[in-house]
Amino acid sequence: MGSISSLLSIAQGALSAHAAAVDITGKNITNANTPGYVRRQALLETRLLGRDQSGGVVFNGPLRMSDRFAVARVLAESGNYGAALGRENALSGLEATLAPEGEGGISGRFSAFFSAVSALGQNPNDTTARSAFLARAGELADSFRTASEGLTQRRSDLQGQASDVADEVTSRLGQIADLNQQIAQAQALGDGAPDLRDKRELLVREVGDRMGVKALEEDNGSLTLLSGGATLVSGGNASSIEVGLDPQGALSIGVRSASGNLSDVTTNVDSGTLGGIRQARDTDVVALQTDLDQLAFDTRNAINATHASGFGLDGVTGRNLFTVPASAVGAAASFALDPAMVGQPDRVAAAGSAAELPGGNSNALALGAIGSQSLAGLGDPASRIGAIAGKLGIFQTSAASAVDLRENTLSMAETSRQQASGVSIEEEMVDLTRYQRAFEASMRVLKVADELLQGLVRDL
Amino acid sequence: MRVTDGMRQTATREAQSLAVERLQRATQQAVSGKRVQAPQDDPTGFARITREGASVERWQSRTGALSLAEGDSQIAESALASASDIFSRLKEIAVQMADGAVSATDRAASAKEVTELRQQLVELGNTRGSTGFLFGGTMTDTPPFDAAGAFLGNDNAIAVETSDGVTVRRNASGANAFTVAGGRDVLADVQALATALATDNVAGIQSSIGFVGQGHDQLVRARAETGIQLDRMKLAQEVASGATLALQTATAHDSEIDVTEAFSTLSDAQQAYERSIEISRRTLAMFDIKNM
Repeated sequence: MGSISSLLSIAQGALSAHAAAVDITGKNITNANTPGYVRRQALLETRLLGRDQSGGVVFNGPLRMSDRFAVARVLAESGNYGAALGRENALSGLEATLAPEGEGGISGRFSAFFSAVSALGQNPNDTTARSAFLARAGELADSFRTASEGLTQRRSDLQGQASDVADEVTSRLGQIADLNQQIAQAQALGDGAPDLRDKRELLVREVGDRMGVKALEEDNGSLTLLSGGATLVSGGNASSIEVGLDPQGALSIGVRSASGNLSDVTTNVDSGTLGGIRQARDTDVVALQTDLDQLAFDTRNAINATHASGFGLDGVTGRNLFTVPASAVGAAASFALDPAMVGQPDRVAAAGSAAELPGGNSNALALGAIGSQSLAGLGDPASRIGAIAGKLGIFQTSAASAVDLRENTLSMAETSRQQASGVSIEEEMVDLTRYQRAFEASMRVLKVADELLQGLVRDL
Repeated sequence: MRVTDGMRQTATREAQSLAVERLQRATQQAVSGKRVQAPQDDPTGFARITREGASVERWQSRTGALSLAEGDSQIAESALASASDIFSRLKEIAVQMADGAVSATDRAASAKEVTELRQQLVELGNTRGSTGFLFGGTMTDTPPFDAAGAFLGNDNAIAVETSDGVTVRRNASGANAFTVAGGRDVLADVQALATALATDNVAGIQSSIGFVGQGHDQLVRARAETGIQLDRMKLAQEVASGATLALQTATAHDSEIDVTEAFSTLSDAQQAYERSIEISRRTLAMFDIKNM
């Protein structure tokens, strides 16, 4: 049977417990929009007074409402979304390089070149038509070089971006390792360290966005982070991410452990921003560059072969219009007028034979026919450059579709996480009222106990 | 299901973002009038538009070349018509002067006219077009006939493309029209007539009648050939114009938007945007602590 003093004790405990619950609720409300915040639940339990006896309530600390499965799903989907977004951003704007609006692109320059060939065919003996032909040929070469430089520059920019992302990841890995140590120490002292866990979870998510990771929590509360088969963080040890180039010029991604060992994880990095950048840089852009080089190679060879079979006004044959490419690799970047043709309109081979000179145009017609001929069996020039632009479009739409898809799956995973960990203001307001009323009731109990005690003292 | 504030905010933000993106795309299309502006709008369509654009340029170049060639051929045809008219007059003179009753004085006067007409024939043989001398084959930069009537040109053809891999000769053959390559050296025949007239050589005049007639026929044939070339060029121009128009229509169909559909889409996007704004307003109002 209870005494008045135990009633006082129960009331006191209830006041403390509900004040703490109000404090937790207030914290939830104020952090409703804080990134990474996981809602807490006030853990109120019955206070045991003795065997088969309970009395009052006790606050057993805040419970961090985290769902490990949901967090792991968000982490995995963050990596997928990061990869899709990284690829989309990496390919963004490349149309200005390969298919710019107006006449400045390769397609427009091809048209201008073949128009100049047509004008040359109409008036093969005219110096102006010959000079215009050389000028348009030079511009065609320029357009290939510009496009090639644009792709090369994009690859260089993406390498820089990949290095920046690697630095960001490395910085966060260090912070996670520090938090691991603090959490392990706190846990050893019986503190769940929810605030530190919030910070760590947010950092892990940021790493996952950038690289794609898996997280495993150890018994002591520290987190082990893995990516591409390498350990990024283990306890208080953090690795660093290094980005360089392999001998072929492709990205090389390595994980250097705290002890200094370097693991090459390049081929395993297909998630996160780094994975997206890698795909865009070393697969998509390389494919576009290869097609562009092949088109440049075939164009130069076809035009050179026809031009060399014709005759200049000086009666000389066998001259190339463009420099001869050694191979398809780099053919766009080295596209240029043959130095012997620069500023030499008389050397333009419009005539098909010496006997045709000076007004013969059969070779000019043959040059013009290249515009509608399949080059190396791969299609005419307009079809080929259209196909390259189309390929870029397919890469871009594919990346955009992946972003939409991954955004949705991430949103679903995030919703799942939010269901467990997110703050609902309505719920918190109800809880606030509930705890407030409980606090008021406890005050009432205290007052009653006080009155009983006063009566007892007075009557005695 | 627990619905948290974060879920509501995310859903609101995503809906708003989607509505803004849709409105921007609809506005961009309505303003530009283009359905396909960049490869990512429609990769296959963009490639097709690029091909069609190049084909349009090619047909337009052909049309320009054919137009220029047609102009030159008309000049050549006109020159050959004048030359055949001169031969008609030469034939009249030869027939009149072959009459034994005509005096030597009259024949001497006719000789001067024939010499004058021969000079006109040389000038016609040296007619220039837009790209040089028309009757010298590919020797377009020098007069095909010298003052003595000697042919300095060649019979090489200058062609113009009518479609892929198909060409038509654009220059009239001066060799066939005026020189022995066509049957008779007409200027030499005229010179012979002038000499016969000047020397009062009736037999020579009589024998010239036949040669002048053959020369006339030779020029008429050359003119007819030029006329056939002209017809082919005109026909090719019609085909080129039709092809250009068809390709331009196809390109427009592939790249441009239907205006009615564009404005309808824009209107839908505007309404969706306004609805998303209202939903956002209401959702955010739910967070207002005063309402609780």
